[in-house]
Amino acid sequence: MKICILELDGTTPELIFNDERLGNIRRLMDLGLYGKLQDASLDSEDSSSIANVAICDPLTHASQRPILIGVRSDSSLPVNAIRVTCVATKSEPTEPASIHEELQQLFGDYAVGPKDPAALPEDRPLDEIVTTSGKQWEVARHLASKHEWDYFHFVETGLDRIPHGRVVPDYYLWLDEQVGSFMELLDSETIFLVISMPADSQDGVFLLAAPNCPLAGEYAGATLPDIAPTLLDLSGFSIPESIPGRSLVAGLEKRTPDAALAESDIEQLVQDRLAGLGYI
Amino acid sequence: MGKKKVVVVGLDGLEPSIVESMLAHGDLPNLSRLRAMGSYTRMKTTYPAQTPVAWSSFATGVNPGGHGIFDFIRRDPETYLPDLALSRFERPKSMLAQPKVVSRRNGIAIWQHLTNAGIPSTVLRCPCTFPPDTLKGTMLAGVGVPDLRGGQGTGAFYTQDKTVAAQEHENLVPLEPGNDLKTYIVGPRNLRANPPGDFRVDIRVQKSGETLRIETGGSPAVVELRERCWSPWIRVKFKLSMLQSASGMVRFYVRRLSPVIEFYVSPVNFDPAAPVYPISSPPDYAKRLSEEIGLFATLGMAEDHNGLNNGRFDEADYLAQCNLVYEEREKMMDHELRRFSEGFFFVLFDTPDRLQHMLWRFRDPEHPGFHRDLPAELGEQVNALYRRCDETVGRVMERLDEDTLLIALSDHGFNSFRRSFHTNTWLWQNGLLALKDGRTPSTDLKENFIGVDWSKTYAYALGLGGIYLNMKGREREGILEEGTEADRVRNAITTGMQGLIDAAKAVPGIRSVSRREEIYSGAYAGESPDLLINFQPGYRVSWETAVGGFSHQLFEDNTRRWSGDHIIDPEAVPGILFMNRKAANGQAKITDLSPTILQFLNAPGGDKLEGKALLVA
Repeated sequence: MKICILELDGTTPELIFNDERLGNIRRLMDLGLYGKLQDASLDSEDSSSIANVAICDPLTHASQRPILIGVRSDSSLPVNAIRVTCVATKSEPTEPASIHEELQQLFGDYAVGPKDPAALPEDRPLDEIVTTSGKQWEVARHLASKHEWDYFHFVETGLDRIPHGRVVPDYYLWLDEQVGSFMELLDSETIFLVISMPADSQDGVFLLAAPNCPLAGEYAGATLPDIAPTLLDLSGFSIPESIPGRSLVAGLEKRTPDAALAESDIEQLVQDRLAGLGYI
Repeated sequence: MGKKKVVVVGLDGLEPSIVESMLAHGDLPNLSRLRAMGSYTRMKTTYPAQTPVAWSSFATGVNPGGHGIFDFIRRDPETYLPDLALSRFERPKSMLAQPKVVSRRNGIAIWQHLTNAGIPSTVLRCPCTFPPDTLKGTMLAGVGVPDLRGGQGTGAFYTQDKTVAAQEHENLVPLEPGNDLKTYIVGPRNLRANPPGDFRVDIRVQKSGETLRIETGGSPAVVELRERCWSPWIRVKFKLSMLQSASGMVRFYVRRLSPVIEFYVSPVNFDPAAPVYPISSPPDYAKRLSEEIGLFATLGMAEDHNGLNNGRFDEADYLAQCNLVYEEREKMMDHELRRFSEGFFFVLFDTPDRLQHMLWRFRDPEHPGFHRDLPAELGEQVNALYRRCDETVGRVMERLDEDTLLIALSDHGFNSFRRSFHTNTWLWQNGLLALKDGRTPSTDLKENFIGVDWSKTYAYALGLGGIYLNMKGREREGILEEGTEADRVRNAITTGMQGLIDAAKAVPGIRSVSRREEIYSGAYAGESPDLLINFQPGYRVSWETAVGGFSHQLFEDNTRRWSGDHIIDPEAVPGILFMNRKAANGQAKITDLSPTILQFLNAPGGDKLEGKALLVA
């Protein structure tokens, strides 16, 4: 089973869980397991390095073909890894060089992000932020659909580019569309996680959907270190003893994945399409 | 000189013979003026003469072989089952993905050529624009947009009469006795429930004197309706789960309050402000429009012919509902025309088509559904609607300037539908279709090719006039090889059906049969039916044939309220074409419009199309 992570930097539980307009997020909540995420006092100075220790390192270690976009990673990458840099997260340069060329050719200057978010004008238009983030998402969709991977991890940084204090529900609506577009392109052998990291006093968020996940609904009391063991557990990798946290589905029997829609349901849907045509 | 503009007013199904007679009587003053300013001609339509096919050829400037829309209905060669031909249902890739609908219309539409040239378009309710194209400008999708149950329109009938049974394509909801009742609006199917059921919104209805008070469970929260009245749009929300909901809107109609309570709820339309699938381009355009002009029907076939066909309301109430749709469309047109300053404008009025389908029998004494005691003024309602269309064109003419090309057209004409033909029964009688276990054709086999022995079947009919050969490698259980064997079958059908006599009436019911290679060319020609029947006026393919069914008879009276139709020999049902410019001599075709419009707007692309620009240089 493959693992796909969309890390939405800077989102809050309130805005994610309480906005009914976020149709794809709602669908994800309905399909899987979700909740607030506490940080369980990992020692780190900023959120991206927390993610790094808690999630990226153990998964990269288990993976044969990771694709990391805007992820800062301390661990050494496997031979077939793809890494894409992002100015905003100060991640390492893109490698291999062939990928850099491919992205440059398709998207131009793809490693988007502000040098100094604090220097942004307060009235920076949302459109501009969306355009910049849109390119990141295009890069992510391109790599996710055109290249092989078993662990895909993309850090979205748009909210960092929105000056502090601005009301951003419209950006969430746009983000929801992007998450939806990912949900459309993944295959049925993928564990899908949308996450935002806890930071300071702010809780993080996780939304997890996997065809074999035995749990669904809201999960209270999850902590960041639990996420990596949960993903490893669901994907069938062994969980190294050295990592902290515990799988949220530990000891539970994995569900047998059922088809998204049964054959008879599809037939029904197709027949329904003619209802009321008048000519028949 | 201002910017060049083209305004197209589509009047679906306006019949040339009626238009010409009304023009001669001075009944259509605005169209008459338009003819005097420019031109009027009959216009050749597509094979077959059907709304989605013809408007797709209008939009793309190519014959159906170039855009891939051949009928409302197609068959899946894997299952032989009927499916909607306007769009494709795509099964989801994973549990995360959603079922998707993809348009089957190919080719390049006028607005796509214009977008490439940087010229904006406003396209309102053109058939086969669901899901909507991306374009420079705005588009609101038309015929093809489903209701919340995924079909073309399923209403619900509520009654305290226990003897009433559900009719076609409707939900029947029985009501308890009493004057204060709790019931529900039937929403989308709930496939995940066991057994599968429907999502619902609870409502309460109370009879009080002459009115029915309805607590709608939506917005507005309460409506009070008298007998035989339609409510305004009511927005409702179906809770799909703890977290998700689907928005829709309905109109209520009260049929009677005594001796029993009976009412009807329209198909649940997408809410333009929160459609389940995008129905406009850009996606939030429908929402903005509804905020500006109020709610409007979003269902592709907005006129509720089904409720009338099932006898849930009568012709007068159907007319009232059609009027509501027409008014919404006119409001939409006026609103958009006011801000239209450049490029291409299209609006379609579907109502004439839908009204003629249902009211034709009142104007045809030879129709089996005609009775002397029927109110004669109903037939006159068709003329009244033509006059209204004329007024609509008049309103547009008031806004014209010298830089505007105005086109008013219909996609096909209209005729009576008195007798139906059971194509599959004919194929069986002629040894081209076999039934299992010694069965014979009857209405027990009314759909989905029940009882057909595919291993001995050479040809089968489904849809509105098409015949398919049972080809090896194409159909799941195909037996025919391309070549002499298939040609023998084609010949047997074309010669056997040519001029086929309806014995009971002693007149031919069929003119001819066209082979697809005679009428189609282009990248998608291979997806069309192999043969197409060209019926005589007065005839049409039967209701059963359309969905793969049979009857014991070959020809049969059409006794449904759906009594007019146009799916006959296209030569017999041309459309109309008015322009405020002189047209070149020669036969105008529906494929000529796209090059004409592109040429007028100086946009490239038109010269590569099949049709020719119609304006005199």
